[in-house]
Amino acid sequence: MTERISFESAQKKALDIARTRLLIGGALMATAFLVIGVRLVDVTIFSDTGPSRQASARSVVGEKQMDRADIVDRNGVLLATSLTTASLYGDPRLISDPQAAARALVRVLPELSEAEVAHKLSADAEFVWLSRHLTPRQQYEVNRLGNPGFNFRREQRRVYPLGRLTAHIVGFTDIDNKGLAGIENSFDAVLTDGRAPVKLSIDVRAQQILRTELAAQIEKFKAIGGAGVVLDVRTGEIISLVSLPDFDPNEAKDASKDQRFNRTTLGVYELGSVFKIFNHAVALETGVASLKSHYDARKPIRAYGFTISDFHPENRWLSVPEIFMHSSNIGSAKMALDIGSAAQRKFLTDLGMLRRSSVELPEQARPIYPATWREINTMTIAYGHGIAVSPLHAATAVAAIVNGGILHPATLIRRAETPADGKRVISAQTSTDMRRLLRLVVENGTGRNASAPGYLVGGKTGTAEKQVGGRYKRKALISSFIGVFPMTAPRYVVMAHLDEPKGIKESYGYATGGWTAAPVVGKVISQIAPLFGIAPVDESAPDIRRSLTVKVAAPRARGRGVATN
Amino acid sequence: MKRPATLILFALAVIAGGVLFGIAFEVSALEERLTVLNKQIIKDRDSIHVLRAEWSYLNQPERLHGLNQRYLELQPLAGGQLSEIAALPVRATPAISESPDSPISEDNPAPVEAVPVDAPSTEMSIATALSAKPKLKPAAPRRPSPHVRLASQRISPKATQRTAVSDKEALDAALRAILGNKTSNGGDARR
Repeated sequence: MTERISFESAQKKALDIARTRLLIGGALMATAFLVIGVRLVDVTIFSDTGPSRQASARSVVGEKQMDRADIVDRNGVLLATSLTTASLYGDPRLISDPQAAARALVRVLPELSEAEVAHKLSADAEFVWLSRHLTPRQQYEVNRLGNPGFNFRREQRRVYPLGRLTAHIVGFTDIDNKGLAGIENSFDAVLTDGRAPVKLSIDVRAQQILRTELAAQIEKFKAIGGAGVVLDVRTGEIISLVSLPDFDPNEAKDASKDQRFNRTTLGVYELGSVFKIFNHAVALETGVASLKSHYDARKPIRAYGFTISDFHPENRWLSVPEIFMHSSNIGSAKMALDIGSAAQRKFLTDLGMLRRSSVELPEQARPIYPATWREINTMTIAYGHGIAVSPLHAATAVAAIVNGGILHPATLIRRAETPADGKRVISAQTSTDMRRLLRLVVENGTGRNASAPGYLVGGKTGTAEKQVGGRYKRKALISSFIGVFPMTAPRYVVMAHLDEPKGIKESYGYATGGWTAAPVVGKVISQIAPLFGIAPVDESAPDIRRSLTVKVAAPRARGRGVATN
Repeated sequence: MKRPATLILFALAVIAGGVLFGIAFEVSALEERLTVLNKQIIKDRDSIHVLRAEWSYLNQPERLHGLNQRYLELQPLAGGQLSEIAALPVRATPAISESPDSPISEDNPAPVEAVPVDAPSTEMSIATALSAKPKLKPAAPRRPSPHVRLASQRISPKATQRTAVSDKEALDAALRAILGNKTSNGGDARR
């Protein structure tokens, strides 16, 4: 009995120990599970970084595609894009025999120099560029060499599919895709982080037409260069901007300085008689002269050691429209004296002629004008000498003169139909009068070569002698023409500008704006008008004639009889 | 009582484990597919990019001009070739139907044709404008230039199943065409 009891108590003791151990073990396990459970709740419910990060890592749909956004024209034609290419680099540590490796590589990539590659591969470095932007075929060939020291890095290369056509607008980048010129430079930040393409106001069709016609004329008159602009007068959008000679932005590093020079925005020129547009506009606007006023243009003006004479002298009294039509320097200078220096300067400032243009290009020049605006400056500026502006300045200002008097800053970026940032510079009435005068020049004056039948072209010629080293060079001319169409309701300004054209037989030896630049404008207008849906009209229709003609009748002619219509 | 509960729980555990593994395998299969698809998307995007660049390159106005001169000889639209409907000459006399089946009666007058037909006197008529230009020259059988052909292969479903090498060739040709554009732009028009 006692034995049984003692046995029982020993068993009980063992059971007690086991129970205690079980309890401890169970508690440990429960704690562990509790910790895991808490952590599980924490990770799945309270941690918010997890899920979103995972989703973005798994989907490429919303990802930025390229390092640099595209540039397109107003119709979406690709002007600049990035293509993914493979670039080859070498790791000299992994190359045992640089000479042999170089020999093998040059066999595949013949444009590399063997000595140079061997030199690079024997350098004490981990990374040397061997060749950038290989095509897939070249990459395959290099891979087939099986050399562990040759590796690739995916890079993006900027490509300009239209080549030289928009070189001066789009600009170019360096090999690391940093914008160096044009829109590539001024919109560098937008292009780098933007996914949407940058849409320009350019129309490549108009660009091609302007470039072709300008290039043909430069060739014909053996000019050293030229510039051209097509501008929408209602918005200030630049439809086309050409500067010749130009370059291929795909090979921008091979371009000469002259080729890279943007004559349209970076070049400043004395534009000559084109400035009579502004002189007449300010005279009519301030009321100094009216279309019925007249000025004595019988004798050249001699003042301050200068002689102001006419290129096509009429030697008589001229009415204000006649001064414009015959491009009389004497008449214009006398009008300017009536206007006065202050009013002239204020008007040119309002037109934006004395400051940098608003266009989104880094290649921009500040206009050159006299620091102190003397009377002689006022007189010469009246006919476009003594002030130098870029062709784009002139085109922008003319757009304001003809569109009803609102100055819209020139832009290369596509805009809404009616921008709100216009600034009134002249009254609508003055604008209407100026349209008549501009039409007169093409109908009967110096700009007849710019006419494009049916499209009611108006415009003004300009011929200036080029200043070289502070002196005027007799035979070196800057010949320009600014055209506008259709004159009843102007839509586009077309400017052409030739640098040092030489007279030829066909032009009777003349190299003036009327002979060299005006035909370009006429040809361009006749081709782009149908593109932009501008219907031709019957130019002799009575209501059109009534709205555009101006009474030119000479004032009581003195001396010889005058018969000008 | 105890034994059936254990059995049920055991069965549930087995089922849950099976479902869990099933889902896990499904997920990893989907992830694999996603990776493949993502790679394909990136590749296709690159190809689209190259093809867009090539499209723009092939549409260079200067090149199109050359092709036009070679095959079409289309002229720029001149102002005189455009006119308004109102300005078109109208045939004044009613055209009398020559068919005996439809005699013209008072109730059924002949239609007045307002369509200009053979109006050589008016330069503005669309008919003359169209017949004057363009002339169609019988075009030589067009052989597509090499990189055009390769590029189109690139997007055809057949081409995507080819080996990586020919895939590269296609893109290579397109890229070479664009990157290797060192000479004048009109160069492509030459053959």
